[in-house]
Amino acid sequence: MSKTFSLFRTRQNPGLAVSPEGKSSASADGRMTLAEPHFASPRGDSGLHPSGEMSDSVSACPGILSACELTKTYRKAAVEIPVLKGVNLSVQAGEFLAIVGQSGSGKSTLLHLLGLLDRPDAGTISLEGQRIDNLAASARDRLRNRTFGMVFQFYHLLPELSTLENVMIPLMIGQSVWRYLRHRRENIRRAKEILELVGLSHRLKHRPRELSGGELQRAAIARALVNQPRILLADEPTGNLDPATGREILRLIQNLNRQVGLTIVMVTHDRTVAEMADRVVSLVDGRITYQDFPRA
Amino acid sequence: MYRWLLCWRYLRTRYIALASIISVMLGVATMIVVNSVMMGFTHEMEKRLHGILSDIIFQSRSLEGFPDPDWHMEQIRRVAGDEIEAMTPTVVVPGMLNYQVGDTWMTRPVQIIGIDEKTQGLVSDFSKYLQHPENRRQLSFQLREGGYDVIDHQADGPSLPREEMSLAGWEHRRRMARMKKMLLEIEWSEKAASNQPESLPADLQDPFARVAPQESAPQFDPEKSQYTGVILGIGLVSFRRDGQDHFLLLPGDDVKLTLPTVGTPPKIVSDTFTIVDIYESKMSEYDSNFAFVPIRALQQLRGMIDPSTGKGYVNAISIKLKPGADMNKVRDKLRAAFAPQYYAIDTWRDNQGPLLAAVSMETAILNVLLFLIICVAGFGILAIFFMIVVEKTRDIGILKALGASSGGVMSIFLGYGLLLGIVGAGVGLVLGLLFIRHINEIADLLGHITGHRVFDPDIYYFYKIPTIVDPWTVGWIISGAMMIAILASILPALRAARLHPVEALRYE
Repeated sequence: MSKTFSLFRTRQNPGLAVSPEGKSSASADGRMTLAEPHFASPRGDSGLHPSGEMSDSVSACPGILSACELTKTYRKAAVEIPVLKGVNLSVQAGEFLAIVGQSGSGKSTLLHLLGLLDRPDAGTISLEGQRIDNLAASARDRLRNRTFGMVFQFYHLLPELSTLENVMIPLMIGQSVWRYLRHRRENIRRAKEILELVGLSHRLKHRPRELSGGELQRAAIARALVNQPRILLADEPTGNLDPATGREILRLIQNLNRQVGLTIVMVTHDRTVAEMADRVVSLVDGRITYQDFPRA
Repeated sequence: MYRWLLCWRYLRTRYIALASIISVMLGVATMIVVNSVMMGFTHEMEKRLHGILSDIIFQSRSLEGFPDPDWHMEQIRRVAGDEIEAMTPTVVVPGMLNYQVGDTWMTRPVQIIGIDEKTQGLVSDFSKYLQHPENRRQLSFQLREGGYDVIDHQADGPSLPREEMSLAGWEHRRRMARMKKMLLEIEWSEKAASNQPESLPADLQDPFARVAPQESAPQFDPEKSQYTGVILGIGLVSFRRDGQDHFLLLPGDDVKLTLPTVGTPPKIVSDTFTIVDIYESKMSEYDSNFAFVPIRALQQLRGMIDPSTGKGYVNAISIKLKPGADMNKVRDKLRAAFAPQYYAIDTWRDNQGPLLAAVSMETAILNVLLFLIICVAGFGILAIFFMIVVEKTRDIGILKALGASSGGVMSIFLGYGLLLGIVGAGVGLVLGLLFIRHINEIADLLGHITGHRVFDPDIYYFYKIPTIVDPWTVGWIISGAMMIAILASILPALRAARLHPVEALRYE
């Protein structure tokens, strides 16, 4: 997979590594330092050691992404439904973490909070020690665009756009019109490379309705990766696929983690799916209750 | 960038939205057509009114008029001499026109206007409306030998020829005189044959007798001489059917004018005039009312000449200003200089104020109504946009999850509204301009289909529908339509921007 390496090295492209504002400039630096060990040793011990001590180091909130005492309550017609009741979680750089829970256990909510799609009622979310849950809307938009890649159960591709255009949408969102047009060729090349990486280079011009479920999810993964995120958040990525295709997608995600060193957080209700991860935590009744190292 | 890409894709894939802007399109097209036609009419009317009326009209408030027009003109020159190009005195008096068609005498009310043949052409477009090319160059109240226009020289397109006009002039007069003489001779010989001596006084009462050479003074021979010249409006001497003019009288025929003299109470006087030309301003109100005669003849007939000085009274002085002069300023100066209880001083616009105001009000009301149509179309856009936002809820959630800001999502829908507005206004513009370009053909076609003429030249005296496309008006209409499209998309766009990404993604 030499291609992957060349692909991800493009993150040193000054245009894309430049931090948008002072707040995340430290993380931009960190991005470089973090990236290097993975390229040196993609499954390095550095990724595993801290995770072993994770359970008792919650208060320190180490790792690339961490949640402290997250609470979230939904209101439905004057009835309050507490979904998260104080979740503590820490994700290490280069780790593949699975969150398992019954449907309605709040695992999707947790993922949405981690991905800054929603705000917690209480508690904090930190990215490399910097609190990010209370940032202004524009900074959150930027983090969603650059730092997090999101994959959903129902793929969520835009039906009016071709596969290639769908993959390029995060690039378009992240760049101004002029900049996009100036780098158009490079953007297209990058999107094509990513599509090749996920094995979809033969479906560039197809509309989502012309693709199979597995292809749709591959396209969605390509879209999540195109802006070189540091963390991939996957919400039941196999939930809508047949077992064989689901396994292919999982293998793809696993490869991304192992060969490129991408940090991945995946939520699923399926234990067998979770087995593919380095570490599995269970979310029961709004709290993290159990953790497991399938491959340890 | 994604905003424009998505706007464009939505525009191309959502035909229902295009349907919603059909009303915008039709509204824009109709507004352009209506404004152009109204402006064409207004322009044409103003041109004619102005052409008939000269810039400033200095009028006496009394039908008796004021004495010594030369002194008045000198005073006017003293007040505003720098800005005055030409002046001419006129006498205006209501009267009656009598003429004979076949065996019957017809009477029509007319406005008799005494004009100075030398200077009348200098202050207005009066001469342009005459039918003889020489009269258009220099007006004369002498009957011409012939050569009156058969083809309407003012027509801006093909018009039906007025064949009868080819006969007009001295030739017509001689022919008519010979015919009358012949008829009279036949009658006379019949009467002579019956040998009734008391038939002679009855002959004298016969109107034919008056022009008969046997009865009138021996020095007047209608084959060789004419009465005082008169120029009649075309509406007085002809009627129009199916775009073809039919003349009851031609230059060369004699008519009678009856009018009140000055003095209290006025007496009625009457005299015979010979038609020397026909006046056609294409404003039916004037064309069917005006009879122009030499000012001196009218003054004499009415007794408006002061026997001690030999100077005539006049009703009005028409003033033409130099190009670029401010009409209202000159009017105000003159108003300040002359006693307002005796003199009414108005610009041609003041004079025709009610008419011009009525036309501009008509245009304004039409514009308001048509703009309301576009506004209604705006609500259509609003409704359809709300539908699209609901339909696109999930997509909006995805875009937000991928880092699109609320402003970005909002601008997708605003941009979409703008695009729809541009398309609607653009197509409407093209339709409107095409319609204007072929408006006469369309009117003809409609008339052909419905059997009812849309634009009846019997009424309007134009052969074609006049249109003027004013770029400013078109610009306003288009920007207005686009504004409405954008305004209508604001609410749906706000709704889209406010969607919570998690809620939106949960939406299936």
